[in-house]
Amino acid sequence: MSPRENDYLVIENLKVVLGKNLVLNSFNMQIKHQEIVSLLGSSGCGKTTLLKTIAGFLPIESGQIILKDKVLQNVTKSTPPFKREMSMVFQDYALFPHLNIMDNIRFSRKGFSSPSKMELFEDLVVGLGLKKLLKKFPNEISGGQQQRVAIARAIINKPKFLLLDEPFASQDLELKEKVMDIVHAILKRKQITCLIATHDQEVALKFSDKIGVMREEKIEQLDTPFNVFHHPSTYFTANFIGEGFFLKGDIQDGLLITPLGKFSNYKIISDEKLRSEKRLKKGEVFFFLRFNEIKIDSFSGIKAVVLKKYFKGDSFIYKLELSKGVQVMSLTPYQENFSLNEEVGVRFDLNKQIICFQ
Amino acid sequence: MAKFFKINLPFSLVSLFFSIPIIAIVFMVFEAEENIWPHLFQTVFPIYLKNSIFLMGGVAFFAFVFGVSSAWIITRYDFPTKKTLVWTAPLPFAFPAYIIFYIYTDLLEYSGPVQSFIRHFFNWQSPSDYWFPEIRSLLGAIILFSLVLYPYVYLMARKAFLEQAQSILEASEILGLNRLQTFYRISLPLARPSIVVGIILVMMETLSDFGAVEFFSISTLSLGVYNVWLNMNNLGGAAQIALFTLGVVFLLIALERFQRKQQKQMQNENSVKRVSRLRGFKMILAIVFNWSLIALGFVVPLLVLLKYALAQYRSVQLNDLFSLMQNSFFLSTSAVSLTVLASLLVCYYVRFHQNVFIKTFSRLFYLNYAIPGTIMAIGIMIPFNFFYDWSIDFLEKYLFFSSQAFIYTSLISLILAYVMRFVSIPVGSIDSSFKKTSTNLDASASLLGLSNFAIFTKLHYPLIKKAILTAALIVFVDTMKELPMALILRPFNFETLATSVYSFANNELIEKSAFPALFIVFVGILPTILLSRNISES
Repeated sequence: MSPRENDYLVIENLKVVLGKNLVLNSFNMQIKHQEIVSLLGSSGCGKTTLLKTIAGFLPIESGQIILKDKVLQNVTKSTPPFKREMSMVFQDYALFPHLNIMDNIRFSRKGFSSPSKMELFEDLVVGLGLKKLLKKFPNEISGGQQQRVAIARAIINKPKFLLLDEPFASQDLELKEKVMDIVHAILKRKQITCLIATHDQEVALKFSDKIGVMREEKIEQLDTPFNVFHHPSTYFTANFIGEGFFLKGDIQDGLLITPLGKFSNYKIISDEKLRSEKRLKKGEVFFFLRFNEIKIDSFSGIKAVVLKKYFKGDSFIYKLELSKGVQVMSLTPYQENFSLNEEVGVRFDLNKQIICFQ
Repeated sequence: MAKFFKINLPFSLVSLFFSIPIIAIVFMVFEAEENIWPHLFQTVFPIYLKNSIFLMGGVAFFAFVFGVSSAWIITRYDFPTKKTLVWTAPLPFAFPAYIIFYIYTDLLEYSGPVQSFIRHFFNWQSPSDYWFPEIRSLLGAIILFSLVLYPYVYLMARKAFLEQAQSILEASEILGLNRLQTFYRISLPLARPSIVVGIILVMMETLSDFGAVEFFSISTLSLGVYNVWLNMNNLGGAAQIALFTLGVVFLLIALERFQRKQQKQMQNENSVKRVSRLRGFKMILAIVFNWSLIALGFVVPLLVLLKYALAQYRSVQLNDLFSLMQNSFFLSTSAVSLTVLASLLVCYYVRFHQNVFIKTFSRLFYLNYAIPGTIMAIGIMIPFNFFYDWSIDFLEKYLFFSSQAFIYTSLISLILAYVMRFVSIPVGSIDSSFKKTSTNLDASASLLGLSNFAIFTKLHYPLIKKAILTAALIVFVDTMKELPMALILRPFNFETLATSVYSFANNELIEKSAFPALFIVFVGILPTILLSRNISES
């Protein structure tokens, strides 16, 4: 079985130009049936453009988009959006201002009489807390409520493929988890394949089966949330996901020599972009550490001075300077409250393989 | 309490002054020597009403079809010549309705070039040999009005279509509706309030027209006021018809206000529009449809006027033409200066004294624009009859000239009528420009030590300059082509470009009206393009 046969949505060598801007170039991606994939990337990296291209709203310069073995779009042909059997939640919700919430959710070319649709309607309306809003108009409800209406509208028709653009961005913290849980459960129950564009790492990590990290017109890494977080395949991904920092080290006689000590359990990943950008010398590497891997320990022989501290509620993040001028970051429980310029001991708490980029 | 009067009394008095025409008509209705309602109902009134309703309904229908279709095609599709169409589509606006009526009648009547050519081509000898639609008919009037008034609907619809968020249209398409279904279920309902506003403006313009319907002898309410007043010599009866017409107008205004409120709710942020490229038959259809409207509403009448002008240029009396232009220019510039000045004072007062009382009274400034010219003329004439007697005495007693008294009072009444009717244009324009400027800016400037005069010159004027210029231009053009008020209120032997076109056309000398008509049309082109560009840019 070729990889293509296993894949539900295949994007091959996609190139999209908007005006004079090259937004996507040599873009490749495969999504399996029933998978929920998040696209993570900074603003302007092309996430929304990709979603709109898949939906059929933008022309492509080269490449093709295939859904269920059927070519939806290539340079010569394009299935119009209304024939793609997809749905989309837009960043600005795109609710129809002249229709009430009930009519917005039920808006579709298809009928709305099947029992399964009625059941799904009830599930969505109750689950997303929209029951009391059905007779209201979009301008009479809050942004968060509008976003939930947009989600319900997109799911109700059980699309072949669902596109979500920042779908939980307007939900307050309290509701966000609940909404995410309900939507996730419905997507899985109804076997809906879904692609989400988000800049919210928490959403991507909690909600998705896979995360695609986007950078400069391309996918940098497409993998499970665990692998993307703990086994980043590029310097950019490591830097982008979670809170961490890089230090320079040297590989000598099979050991990783660092300001924090020598380590033998490491893995070197070759990163062409990094090499061209940072001009590393032979044997030089960048290794990646998370804030929680640097512990403040008064018994440690490695000493550092507190340069800055950031209060995070249940913890502090300290910026520390080691004796050789090397700066590290440490995530420390709030009980360990140190003053600026105070000298502290530092311990490198690492029970895993260190990832180095070269 | 004293402060309340100090703030509100001057403003309410000024507002009431601008309401004098309406007050005068109401006064005249109740002061009429005889109640001619029963007589009017038995004779002409049902005809006036029926014609007005049919005319307004028909024009509204065709203006809707022309305006909405054109706006939709130009906004949502791409095809050759589209970029030119964006600014040329509203050009028929530049033609006053009465000029279009004169030209098409001349073109399409039995002795005109079209029928003559057909007879010659088919070798027909008399009218009984063939059928040709009668241009001087209600249907003919409906079509001709629609050709010059559809730009109201076009501009409102285009603005609404441009303001619709792209994502809303995309949401509809991704939910399974094709472009046509999206148009019917999303774009059209969303643009409805704006389109209705456009249609109401078209209906009000149709109702208030005088020159065109008089030329076609279609007895509408507006023409009825004129006939009952001047032909039947019954001012009270005219005032009664005028009051009824005003009722219809105010009903339309109320509907327009309601729709404008709805319009705000339907507006979305501007976003880049995805346009589809039309090809093949659809492309040809789009080009033919849009250019036909411009050809019929602008190019053909313009070419005809140019042809008349070429035929007349040797015999044209330059002195007469110059005198007409001078008179029109004098009236228009006087009206522009006074309306802009009055509007600045009104808008400034409203900005600095915002309370419910002032807001309510400020609405009176908007009402007059909707009053048909003939009715406005009556509303001005009634109080001026009192003023006229007084002014003659005054001029004779203190300034020792009486012969010119009539000319001056008459000219003043005409300029005042223009100011009262058109003041709503700069008031609306400056007020909306002011509303976009936070009052916090005034406060900051004041805290930075600027005097009130400096705040106006350094802060407000640069911000409202464009609004003033646009409004001034529209008032200039509107007064230049205004007909009924000029006809009724002008001094004896005082002709404007519009009245001279009217006089020539009524004497079956349409060719002689070519130069003044061309001048009116050319002046009208500039604000039309400006409006179109403003909408596209905004």
